[in-house]
Amino acid sequence: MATCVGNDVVDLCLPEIEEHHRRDQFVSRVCTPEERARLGDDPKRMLWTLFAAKEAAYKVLVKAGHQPGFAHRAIVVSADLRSVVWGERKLHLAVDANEVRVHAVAWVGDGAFVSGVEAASGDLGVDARAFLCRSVAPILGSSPDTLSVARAPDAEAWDGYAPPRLLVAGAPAPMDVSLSHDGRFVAFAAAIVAA
Amino acid sequence: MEQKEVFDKVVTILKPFVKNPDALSTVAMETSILKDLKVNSARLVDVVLEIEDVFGIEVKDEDADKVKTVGDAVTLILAKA
Repeated sequence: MATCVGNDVVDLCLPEIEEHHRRDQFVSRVCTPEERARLGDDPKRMLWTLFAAKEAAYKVLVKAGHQPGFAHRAIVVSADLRSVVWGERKLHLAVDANEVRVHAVAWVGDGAFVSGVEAASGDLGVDARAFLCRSVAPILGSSPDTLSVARAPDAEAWDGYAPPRLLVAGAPAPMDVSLSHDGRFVAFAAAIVAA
Repeated sequence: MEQKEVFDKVVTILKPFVKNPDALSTVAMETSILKDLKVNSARLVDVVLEIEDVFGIEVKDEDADKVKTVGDAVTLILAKA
């Protein structure tokens, strides 16, 4: 099966999320009781790690044709942070976290993927696309200038658009991609899709 | 509670999360919360919790799932308040 990826980045320094790990309403809305019990000594970072993992998994599930909906607790993150379960579906998970940001990548399939996070200061949507194109161009053997990202309108999607697709000279690239940005950070995940 | 009052309160709730402030000048019932106002999807939980607090209602996950526009939120609140 081809790899399908989703990713999510959270800027841990945003003032608006400073207190969320202390807000019972928020924590109980996002976490299962078991996840909540695992927030541990660094509850802020762990809460947002769980959140990012669920958002990344959500993106994969939508691409796979599922409708996980607005139900963070239905997407359950394993204690070792290496997998995510939604119903009978199990996804792989990789988490890269430090003091200032959390980046989670979820995927299905056996193909390898690449991912990255970097600070940005311009239009974060534009910066995330440029970061992706610059990063995967060598893998595709293409110039970054020939790569672009398109999102088709999709009335059924939450934000009105289908997941992003990478194009090479206007034609679909053999790569599944995911973009994310939050606060000062942009991030991507990308995987070669088997023919 | 009148629809206009609920609408104004919903817009007030959304305002801190809006990344496209220009869109607030033309906000209407059909305005998309994510597509038009550019509210980050990661902040939607905050929006739902704020609606619960302000209107004293419970918004279940399946209810929140149906809210795409400002009008959807207003309709949901009026049905529960």
